Amino acid sequence: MSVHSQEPLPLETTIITDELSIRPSRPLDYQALNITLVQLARKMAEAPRDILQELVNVILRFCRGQSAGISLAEEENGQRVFRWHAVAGRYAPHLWGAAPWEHELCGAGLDQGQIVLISNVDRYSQYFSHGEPNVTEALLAPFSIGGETTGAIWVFLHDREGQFDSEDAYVLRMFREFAAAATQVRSMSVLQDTQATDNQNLLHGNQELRKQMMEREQMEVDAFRLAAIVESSDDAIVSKDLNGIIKSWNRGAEHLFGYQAAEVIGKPISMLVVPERVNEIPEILKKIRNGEHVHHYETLRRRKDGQVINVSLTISPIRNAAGQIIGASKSARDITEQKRAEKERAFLLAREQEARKTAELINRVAPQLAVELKTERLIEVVTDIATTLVGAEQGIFLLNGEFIENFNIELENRKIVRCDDAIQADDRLAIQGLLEGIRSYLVVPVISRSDEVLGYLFLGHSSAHKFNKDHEAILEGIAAQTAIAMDNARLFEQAQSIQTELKRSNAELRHANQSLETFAYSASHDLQEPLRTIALSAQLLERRCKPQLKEEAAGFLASILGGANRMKALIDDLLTYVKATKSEEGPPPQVESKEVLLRVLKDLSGQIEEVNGAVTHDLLPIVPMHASRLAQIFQNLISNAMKYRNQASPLVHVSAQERDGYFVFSVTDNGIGIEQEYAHQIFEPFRRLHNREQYSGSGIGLGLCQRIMEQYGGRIWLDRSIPGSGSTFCFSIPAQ
Amino acid sequence: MLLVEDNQTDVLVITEALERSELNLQVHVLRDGLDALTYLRQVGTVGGPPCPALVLLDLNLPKVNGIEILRQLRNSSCRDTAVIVVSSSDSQSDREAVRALGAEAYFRKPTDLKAYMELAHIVNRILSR
Repeated sequence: MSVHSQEPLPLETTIITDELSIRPSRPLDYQALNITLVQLARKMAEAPRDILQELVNVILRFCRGQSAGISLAEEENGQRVFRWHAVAGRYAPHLWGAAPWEHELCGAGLDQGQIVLISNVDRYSQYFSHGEPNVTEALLAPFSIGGETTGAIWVFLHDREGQFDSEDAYVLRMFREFAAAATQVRSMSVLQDTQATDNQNLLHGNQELRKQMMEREQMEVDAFRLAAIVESSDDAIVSKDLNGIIKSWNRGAEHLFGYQAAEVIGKPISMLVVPERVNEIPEILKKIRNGEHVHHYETLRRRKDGQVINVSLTISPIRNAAGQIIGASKSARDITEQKRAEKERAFLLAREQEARKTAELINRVAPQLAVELKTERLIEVVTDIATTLVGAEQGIFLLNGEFIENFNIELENRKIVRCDDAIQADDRLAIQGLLEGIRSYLVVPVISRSDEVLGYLFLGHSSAHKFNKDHEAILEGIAAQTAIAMDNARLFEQAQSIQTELKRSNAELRHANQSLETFAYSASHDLQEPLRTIALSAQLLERRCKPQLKEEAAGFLASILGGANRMKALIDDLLTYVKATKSEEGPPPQVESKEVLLRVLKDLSGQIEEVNGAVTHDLLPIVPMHASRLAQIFQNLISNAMKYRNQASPLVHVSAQERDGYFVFSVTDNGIGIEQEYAHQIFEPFRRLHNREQYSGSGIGLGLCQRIMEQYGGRIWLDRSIPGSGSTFCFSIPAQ
Repeated sequence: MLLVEDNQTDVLVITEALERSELNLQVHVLRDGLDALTYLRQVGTVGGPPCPALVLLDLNLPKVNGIEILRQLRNSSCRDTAVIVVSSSDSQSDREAVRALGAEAYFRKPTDLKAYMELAHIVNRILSR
């Protein structure tokens, strides 16, 4: 590969994060994203071990990348490395791979502390120049746990065609908090399992011990002969008389309590007891005198160096040969470490439960928000939920710009703000006295996918120190979901207003069309009356007074008659046109188009014979259209062909085929054709290309055909025309 | 014969067509709907005019329209008089309305003078039954 011979590029030249804001971005399915978030949270609770792989699968689905993964920082042989804990896509074979911090992309991303887009990855990192497949772009989102950056989620592109956009960055931003939570939950789950094993071992050890103790108790031995056996024990074994005076002290005891045997023998056992437990000794001695045993009594003891340790005591009476109780043997085991582990385990368990609870709480919010599509109502719901979840007394949603501006530098940086005691803090919010009686509060910005602050969620309480890190996490989760829901609601509201506007303008148009039709109909109707009077009067004048008229006057009379006739034809056409715009009642029936054509040919037979024309046709289909309307189309096209003919006898051929869900009819003639530049004008009503002397007619025909075809969801067009040698008109009818 | 028609040109053309066909009819012309109703109330009464042999009735008349006149005629003593409706309307509802009221014929006024001779033929046919 030629790439290898190139010098590595410095990181700065390969970071192109700024490009995200100028690249065209694509729409994202927020509904699906929301649902997926909920599913992921469920998965986190059910199978925390698999959550990281699940997460990268999801990231790959929502991003443009061809590989996605999660890298976690780890120590390995004293070196800081990144290990790929989950990988999906083309890089999947590299799962569990690791690379040193300074050579790994994630290291670069983490050092930047925010989402970065890196190009020419192979030129920057030697680890990727050898890797297969090649990485052309990498988008990285680091995440942190407890303030420490611990890992990153990433997506890779492997070929030069694709590129990441701001939506991909948005998806990573959405998921990185989740990744942090998931990582934590997963590691807790692993830890828990390990401790369960440890406990099992300890339990086993204890049982062994107990067994030994039982065996010892059963031995009928002289109290002081025991020393030889106990000397070798790791456990502290001490014997004392009934007054609590130490009689023997083994090596285990020396080790546990720090005193040499010589220092303690003959001294009271109470020297080992912490002051608050001093009452234990008489109690224990009392039991011993009664012949009772004390098993696994957990208490505190003090070492010579003053350190207090947790011990588990097993105390048994010592009898002499006569069976009289003469003292007690005490075995003590240091359980400080065990106690500490137990405590830590309980702590981790509680934290894990807390984390799960938070995730569940946040996820319960999602479905509630998803169904709310009105911004106003959404804000109410969010505020109510947040107030309840964090146990606040007051919850307010501040729409952006209401009053929050300039009050807090953290908010300006779009981070969550927590105030534990407003009286002590020098806080402008408190100083402004806007929220009287509030001592603790949380404010979180709600940021849209377009990076716009939509508002702030404010939660307050009259007592100090009411909120903690967990509440912050809950609130941040809710804010993220709110942002998505508000974006959704905004889109929905926009879509709705557009729809309303469309409906309104449609209704207006329909109304206007109806008025226009009514007007055209009655106007043309009313025009006929006076026109008829003009025509009849002119004819009467001609009939009765022609002999008296001068030649000039007779010419004028002829003009009046001609004009009246043309006007009548126009009005008739207009009426036909208006009638054609009124849809036929009911759905179109199936008609035999051949039958319709033959009927039209019969009606036109006079015109066709007159010009010695002929009409032929192929097999014609059954089509869903009213016969009268289809007849009008055929009638107009054929009649035009007979009219606009060449010297040769007009020949017309009609054919049809089914194509892409339409019946497409072709009507081809050998007439005068139409110049390309007029091809569109011919469908305009009353548009004529020729003067009246050449060709008669009002020019309504093709416009009428177009109106009819539009009503059936089809269209009519001039498919092909050669001036001087013919045209082909096509019309299409949806096959339903 | 009674002709109820407000348009002077139509009156002229119709009477000319009837004259040309040499039917020798005495044509009484009424120019609006109210006149026609008044006339119908007088016919058949003592001293009043007799029922006409035929009525040519326009529909689009001032004051009272032709369909109303036809309805009242059917309720008068001249209820059996033959009626030919002469109208410029080609509306289907008009045709149906006058047929329901027992009009003998519906003649749509043409624009061509010669076509009025057809009306004379119809008149002749009805009168010679």
